[in-house]
Amino acid sequence: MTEPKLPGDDDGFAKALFVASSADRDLRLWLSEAAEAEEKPVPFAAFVQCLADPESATGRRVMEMAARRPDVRAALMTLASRFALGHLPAVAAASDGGLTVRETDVFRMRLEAAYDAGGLAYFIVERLDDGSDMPRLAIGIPEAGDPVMRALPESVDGVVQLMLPSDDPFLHLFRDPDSRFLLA
Amino acid sequence: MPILDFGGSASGLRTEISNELASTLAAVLDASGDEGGRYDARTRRNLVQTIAARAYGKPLLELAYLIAAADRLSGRHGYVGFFWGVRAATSGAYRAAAFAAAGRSAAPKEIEAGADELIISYPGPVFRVSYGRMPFLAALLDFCVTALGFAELDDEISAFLSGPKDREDMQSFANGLSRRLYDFLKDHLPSQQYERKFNAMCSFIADRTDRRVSADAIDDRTVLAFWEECCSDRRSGGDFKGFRTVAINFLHLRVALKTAADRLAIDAAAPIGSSRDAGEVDPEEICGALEVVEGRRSVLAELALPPADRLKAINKRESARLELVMEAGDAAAVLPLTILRAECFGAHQARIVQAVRKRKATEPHGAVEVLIDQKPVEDYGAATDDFQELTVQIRKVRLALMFTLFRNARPEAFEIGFDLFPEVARALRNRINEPEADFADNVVPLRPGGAIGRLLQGAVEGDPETMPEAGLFKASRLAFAKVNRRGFEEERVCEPEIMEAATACEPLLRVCGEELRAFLAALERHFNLIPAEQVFEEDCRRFHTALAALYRETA
Amino acid sequence: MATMPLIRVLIATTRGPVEVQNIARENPAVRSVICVGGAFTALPVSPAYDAFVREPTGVVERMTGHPVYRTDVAAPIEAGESWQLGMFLAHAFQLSGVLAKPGDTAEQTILVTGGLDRDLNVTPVSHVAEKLARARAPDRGACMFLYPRGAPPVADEDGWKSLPVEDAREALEICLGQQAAERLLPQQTPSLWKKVISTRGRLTVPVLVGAGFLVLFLAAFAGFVQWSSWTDSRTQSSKGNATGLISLSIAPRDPESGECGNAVPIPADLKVFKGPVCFGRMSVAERGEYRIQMTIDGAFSSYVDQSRYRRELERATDGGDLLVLQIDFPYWVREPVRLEAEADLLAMDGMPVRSARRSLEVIPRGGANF
Repeated sequence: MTEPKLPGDDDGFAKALFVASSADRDLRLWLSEAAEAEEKPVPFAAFVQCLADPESATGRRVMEMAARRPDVRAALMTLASRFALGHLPAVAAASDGGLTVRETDVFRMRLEAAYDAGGLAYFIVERLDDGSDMPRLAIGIPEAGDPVMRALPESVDGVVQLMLPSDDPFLHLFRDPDSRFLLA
Repeated sequence: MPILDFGGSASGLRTEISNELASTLAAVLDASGDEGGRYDARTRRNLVQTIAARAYGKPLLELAYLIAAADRLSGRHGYVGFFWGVRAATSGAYRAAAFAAAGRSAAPKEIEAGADELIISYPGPVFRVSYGRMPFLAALLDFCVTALGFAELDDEISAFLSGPKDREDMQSFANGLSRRLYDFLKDHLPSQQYERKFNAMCSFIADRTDRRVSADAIDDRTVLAFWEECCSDRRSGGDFKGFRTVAINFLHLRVALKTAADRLAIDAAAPIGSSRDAGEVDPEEICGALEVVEGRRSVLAELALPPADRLKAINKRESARLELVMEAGDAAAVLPLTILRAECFGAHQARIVQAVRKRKATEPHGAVEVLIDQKPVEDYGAATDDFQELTVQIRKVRLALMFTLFRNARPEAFEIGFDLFPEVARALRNRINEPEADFADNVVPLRPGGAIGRLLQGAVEGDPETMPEAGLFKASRLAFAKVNRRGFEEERVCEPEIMEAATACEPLLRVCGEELRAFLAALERHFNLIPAEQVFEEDCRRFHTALAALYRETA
Repeated sequence: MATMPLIRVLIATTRGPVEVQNIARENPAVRSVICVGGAFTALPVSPAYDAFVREPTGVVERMTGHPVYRTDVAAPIEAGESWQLGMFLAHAFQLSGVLAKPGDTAEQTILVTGGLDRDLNVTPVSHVAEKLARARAPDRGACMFLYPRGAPPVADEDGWKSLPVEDAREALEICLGQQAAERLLPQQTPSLWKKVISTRGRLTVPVLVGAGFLVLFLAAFAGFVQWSSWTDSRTQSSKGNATGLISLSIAPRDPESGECGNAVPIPADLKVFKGPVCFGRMSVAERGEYRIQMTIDGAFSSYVDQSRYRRELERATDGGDLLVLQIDFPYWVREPVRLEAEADLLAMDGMPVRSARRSLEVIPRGGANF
């Protein structure tokens, strides 16, 4: 018969539990401090929510951060690429010096000039089939430089339309045959 | 050298837990759902405990199965759609998602959505993941993705999903993820400092008692003596300067030793002896033990989280006052003086540390020395009175919660009533003819209707002079009128959010009240033997010596 | 020349009145939008506004002849329908040149709430009195509050004269007088044809579809009876002359009024037509199974739903009836477009054995001022 162990023989367990409970407490204390930090990582759930509805409060927050933080922009790009509804590659140079239409089998994106040509342009995304989800985010990816993202409003009939100032960088990217586009 | 560790705050441990880990975890836990957090308090607590105990091995295997199943269920958006397609990660949301997916004609045959769990029949034994487990697994995956990066992890997951999926493949994927988490935590959550503290405290106890270290060997005198020794000879190398930190460390040590001893006792009682090899510690077991001991420690945190936080049941000052008592749990009754010392002298030491910092910056001589020579602002009598007032306040708030619950016809109102007025439970049991059917002792069935339904109606509408339940309601109404805090406004009493918050707050406040009463009873026993003033005077002398040793030489 | 008195239009909302500041014609290739004060963000109500403007669902295009507008308002308009009457009146005033812009001195201010159906009847809305209570009448000029007749009567209040209205025409008569209302919404039509034209959006499609079905039914029945003789003769037909197989006609659109005229046959040698066109029509009268199709192509094809400008039919006829196909022209297009009509006589295996083709270039520019 083995001699029963006495408290203290099981130091390994007690030590591990002490370490874990101390770390747990310190983590909780840290969390209460980190909760107020401004530049903490964006939770992945927020990226997903942004893709699903960029006009939601979370979506707007992520888009705003993506505009000023390269890490957030890169993460959003990665996720958008993973779930892109359409990849619109670079195209052959446009004959008139600027593209106005790009399309895949499923989506067509086009630019339309306003009658009042000085102020704005219309960016339109149309679904060409009946079954696909409509994108909520359009991302222009230049050959070099930072991508430019635009949230798309919700659509019920397969068409979304954005009004953009005629000097909007997104429009420049669209007209540039070397840039690529993602719809997610 | 300036001493910054004075009270067990996170600031004393910045070198141990990395900013990156803390902010990553904060980002995951702060993610918002439909209303409030994406994860509930329990899931949040479990995730932190799992990380702290490094007990992610088994959960990662569950996660592997769930990822594989989710990817098949979720169509175009794959596992990401399943895990993050729900805004609030709750068991109900995942059950609904699983049912919706499994109901589709293209649903995979090897995955079945059962009433309580997902049944996954890949080659090898059938694997089951309950819907209740899914929020935690989702939080763990969230943490992995945020800590390790989505792009990299997604590549790994994609490779895993495209291959065969028998038990070995699942285990292999889980092991790979486990290694990566281990590497991440190795850099961001090192454990050496905690181990060093454990060893120092155990050595001190062993030297002092000359026997094996046990929970029983830790008492108020030991804690103070340990700290005094650390102050005088600095052998601890800076780990133990703050008395409050030392108190918390001993509270943790005591729980750890007691849990280990209980575990051994169970082993010894087992007919075939110990099932464990000495020295082998299962992180899962640690996590399980942690969950038990952390249950009470997290009460204050839960009061500050949705849904409880819609009511200001406890204010900031009260929460700070309660922190150490709740951290101590059962030990509050064993180490009451340690807690009181930490409260009074901990605050005193914090002021000295502030003065040391200022001295370094602006060099006004004398401020530190003056403070060292002073007594704490609050003596033991005043602190004890404050704790007693807090007990009264908690009782008042619970009464006010009872009013909210009565107004919403919630049977939980009687739980409070019977706890605070045990005689009413007896009176009511005599008055109704079906005592066994509806309640026995002070246990109230949480379903309206029957006798309880009538009691609830009688409470609000009856005569307080003749009906005990109406007396309870009257008492609650009077208390409610005196609580002037957020969520206790008459016009909001029947809002569903307030009712939900009241239901969530009550058990938490009950625990606070219980801990506080046990602590005060232990203090009373102490001070019946030696008066509080006498203990305080003696402690002033001892703390003065120790604080002078600590801070005078840097003056 | 005396300038016409200006009218300011305020849409009544429960959050206070919202001024219609500006209405501008916009590129027909985009959708109508409502924006706040010249901003670049379209209000969420914009898709509903587009449907309200553009035919066949909309009523504004029927009055103005133009399908797309950008409208600026002073504050957001929530979803719902109570903006419709006010917006319609604003379009009418814009067309008449009397819509007051910010900074203009208006002789009249109208506060309006009410929905509008396809027949321009004003439909009921909620919170009528509340909307009036939120509006303060300007110090200058006449102030009227127009609301749906049938709603609980609203008393004159705080300078507003409250007037219930039955339909858009009545509202226009109140604001502009009977003559101007008549010009904008002609009531009398001289002939049955005119009447059909005036309700083209509602009637043209069902009438033509019904007629088409009748023709096709007769053709199919005759084709079935004549099946054997047709199969015997098809080899001879395949060697025959296809010239004249297709009859082509177009209905010119009056450049001034925008109304459609009668369909006129196009001689085989006419290759170009100058002026706007409402629709083109092809017919085949010979016996046999035919696949006939019409398309309209042009620069506009790159941005519109092309299926709207390509129609096809595959049926048998015994030669005593017509196979008819009709296609509407993109009336907003000012650049040249090409109308193509093709007919294939099909063998039993579905392969064409005889084909005919007609083509007409249409140059709308210089015609209707759309």
